[in-house]
Amino acid sequence: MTLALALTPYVYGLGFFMMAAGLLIALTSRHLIKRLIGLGVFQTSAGVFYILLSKVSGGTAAIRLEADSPAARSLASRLDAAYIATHGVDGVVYSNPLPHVLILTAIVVGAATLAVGLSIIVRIRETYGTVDFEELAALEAKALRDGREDEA
Amino acid sequence: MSPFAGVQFASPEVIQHAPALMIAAPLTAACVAALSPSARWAWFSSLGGALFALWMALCLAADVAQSGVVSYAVGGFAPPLGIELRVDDLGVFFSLLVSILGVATSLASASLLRLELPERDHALMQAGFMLALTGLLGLTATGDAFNAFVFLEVSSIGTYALVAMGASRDRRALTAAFQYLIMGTIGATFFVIGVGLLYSVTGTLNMTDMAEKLSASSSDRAAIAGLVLITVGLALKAAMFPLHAWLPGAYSAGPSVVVAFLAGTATKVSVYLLIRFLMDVAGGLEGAGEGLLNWLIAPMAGIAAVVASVQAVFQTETRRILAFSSIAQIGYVLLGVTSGSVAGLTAALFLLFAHAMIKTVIFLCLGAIGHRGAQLETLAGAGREAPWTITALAIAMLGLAGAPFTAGFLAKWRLLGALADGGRIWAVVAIAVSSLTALVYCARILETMVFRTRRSSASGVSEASPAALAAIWFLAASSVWYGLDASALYDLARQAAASAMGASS
Amino acid sequence: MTRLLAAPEAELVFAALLLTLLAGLVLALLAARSVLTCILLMSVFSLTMALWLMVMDAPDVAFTEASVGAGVSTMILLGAALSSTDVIPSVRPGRFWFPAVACLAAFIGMALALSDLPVFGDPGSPPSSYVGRLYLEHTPHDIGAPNVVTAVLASYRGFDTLGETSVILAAGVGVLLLLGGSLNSRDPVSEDVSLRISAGSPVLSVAARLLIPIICLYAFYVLAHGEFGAGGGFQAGVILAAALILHALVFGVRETMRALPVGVVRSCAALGVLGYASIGFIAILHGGRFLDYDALLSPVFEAGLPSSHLAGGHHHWGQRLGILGIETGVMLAVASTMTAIFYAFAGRVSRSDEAGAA
Repeated sequence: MTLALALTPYVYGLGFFMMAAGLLIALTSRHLIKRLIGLGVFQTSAGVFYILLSKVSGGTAAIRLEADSPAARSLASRLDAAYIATHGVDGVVYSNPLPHVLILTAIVVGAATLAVGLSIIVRIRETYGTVDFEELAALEAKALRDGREDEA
Repeated sequence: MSPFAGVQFASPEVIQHAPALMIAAPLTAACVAALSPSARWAWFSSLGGALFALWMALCLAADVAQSGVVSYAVGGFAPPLGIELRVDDLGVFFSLLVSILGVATSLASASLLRLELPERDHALMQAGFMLALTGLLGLTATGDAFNAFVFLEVSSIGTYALVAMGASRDRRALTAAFQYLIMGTIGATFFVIGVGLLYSVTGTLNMTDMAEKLSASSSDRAAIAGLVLITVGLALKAAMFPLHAWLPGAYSAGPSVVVAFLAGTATKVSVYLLIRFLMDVAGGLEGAGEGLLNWLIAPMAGIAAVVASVQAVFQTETRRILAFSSIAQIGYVLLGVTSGSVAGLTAALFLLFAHAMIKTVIFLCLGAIGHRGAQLETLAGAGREAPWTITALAIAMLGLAGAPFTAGFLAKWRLLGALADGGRIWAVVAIAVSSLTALVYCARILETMVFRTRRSSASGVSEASPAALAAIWFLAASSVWYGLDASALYDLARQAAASAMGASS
Repeated sequence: MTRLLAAPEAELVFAALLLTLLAGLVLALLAARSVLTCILLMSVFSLTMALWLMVMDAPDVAFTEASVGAGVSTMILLGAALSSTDVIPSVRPGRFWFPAVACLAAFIGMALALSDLPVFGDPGSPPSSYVGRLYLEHTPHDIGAPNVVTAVLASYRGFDTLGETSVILAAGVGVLLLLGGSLNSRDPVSEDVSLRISAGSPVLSVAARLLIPIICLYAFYVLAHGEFGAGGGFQAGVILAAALILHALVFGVRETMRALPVGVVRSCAALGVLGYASIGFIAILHGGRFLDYDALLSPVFEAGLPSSHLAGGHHHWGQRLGILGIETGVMLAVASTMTAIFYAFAGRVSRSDEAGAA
């Protein structure tokens, strides 16, 4: 367990770092497509956090095995009998399936966001002729001034 | 006493499924709208879906009035294994708000869409609108934290595209929609990370169960970090100051019918979730919820009330003025929410309901008269071209300004009273300053539309269609009615507030 | 004891190493100055993520990440990036510091929670010992399917999945609204040579003719196999869409659109979600709760099926039928939406190419 204890801050820290980096890209990049990619990294890293919670040491994927099947026996041979008795379900130790389900949902949501975002980018490029954040901001500021003068 | 006590809107067999049917009805309508061969059929389908959802919300309101809390185990699995729909007085208050505005917007949608978008897009617009309604109604009913994230996304993903469709009137809709997408997704992801942290401490996703497990847990730091992330995420979604930068662009450039619906519902439902998490779920953590409310949200809400109102005064575009006014109003509501008393929360909910109706009326009016210009000046003399619509708009503007005999006045008055009773003089001052500033821009809009004459002949303004007028006048008349006799709405708000505060104490 | 626990600990170390690689990829992404580089890094990131998910005992998620993250996302990213500038100019410092400080604050805030988070791999942590474990214990009895992830996804939390399918429909609606304008006419894409890998190469066309039916068959296998192993409606839908996209790449988008017009695709997406919701309504009509698959089959019909009832009154035939039904709805919605998204982007690319040539 000492190794796992030492790894804990490291793996969560990496997860949090990836979230922060993705967020930074989504907020600061000048190219709109890169912003979306950063957003995707941010969303995926949130999933990393959930999956980190789901891992059970010595566990296997949450697909139920018969306790006396060869697969179950080979898994059991790697583990302490007392460990299996405490943490196993019918003789096999599984990882927690709930975060898997949640992140499956989140991945699909991320892809949906990406599709809509890219469609908007394609329209922006067709309308403004650029996908550079600074150039867009300058164009909008100019349009706002012109609008005031035109309509006034 | 709830106004719905003892009323029965349907047979018990239907009522017992009301929470699920309320969410499934607009979803079905969205599918039918996407399948529709013509814009007309899509409109019928969306109207049908919204009406059915309202009917179910009314059934639910009667059921909640009778039995307190309605719990529905979707799929027949009891929580925490299954997803629970859990509706109490607070939830049903927001279900009613969302479904009423859904019906009104849907009624007006066909004629508003015709003014702004080509016919071939209408069916998909209706489908996107119904999906947004599904998501928001789901948020008001769900008792599961992760399910809330899913509905948050259902209500948002289509909305980003819908806002971008405003590009046919104002090309800035595209960049505004992109900004909205980035900020909205960041907000939702913060929310989901926060839920993950709470899950890591409690091992459950059911909100009621979460609250129980939190009170027994010793892992306060992870839980508090989770709550802070949830608060930040929802603050982004609710456009709470200083995370409101996406809102003015989206509201000013989006298609009128979409903005009318969003302005009345989307930010409001985020406030509901905020109340749900900070008062219900955080109830198990000694002082965490109150700490966040008092030290994070309340100061920001006070600043929002003043700063956004001042910013509104300096805008020259009609819809941008109204957008900044919405940010200020969210500030008022949150000041009431953070007051810590039932009276304050009641007044906040009352104000939220009144403001949602008022803002929806205003944006519907702007769309219904076919007004395409962005600048306020282009509205000059509109009152003569479209007297019926502009009268309704004027009534709503008076409500927004807080003129006497409107629901807006009553709500602000009670809010000020509750805050003064609670000794929050700084909040009273903030709202007073903000309201006085609001008088300036409201007067400017009214003056331009009603009293000024237009300079050129091509204003492009015309009277709204009968369906749109019906929707607009229904909402405008109810806002006047609540200004004269507030008892029914006030009772609903008080029960909602009592149920929220009861859970937190 | 130490020798016995060596294998599990090695697994944790391997997972940590892969995670380091992922973080390195994110760092590279942070520094990348070309859009194409960014897209490729994102794709590599997704594939590595899929590998990491396999190590973390999440094959279902890995399957989805590989097909959705590395496959579909990369494809539409490339489609959208084709005609935009590739070089990313550096950020102005004035626009960088405030977001950077905000991100740092978020990182520190989350890092403060570290001391309270469960130990990596701890079987007794609250997430792994409470509801997660209950699902493992109850699934054989409640649902009767070996894959617990599918059981939770489709039955226990089927309402979430309905919402998720609605999100996909919403994305399809959004993309068609924004980019589909040119697709509705009779002859949508006038000349789409740009998207044909090779016009009329016999090798490709024979290979595609052979492959496409096999890919479709595989999609249905993944769909039906979801109850027993990794797989399900999402993955099957993406695979089915991949078959159509292969068809479009080899024979041209116009040909594919003639065989499967965008109107049909849009209807199929709506029908998928509608079918999913109808299973919920049928359950209500049979006296159950919304999406309660136990109530799907009428008792008379169920009595005739072998070993349909188990202790506790759960109905495995109903559950299996319900799961298969909603997974089919999901597959239909996912496949149609992915195809619609592909049509929308492909249509735009060939249009902008024409504009460039003119």
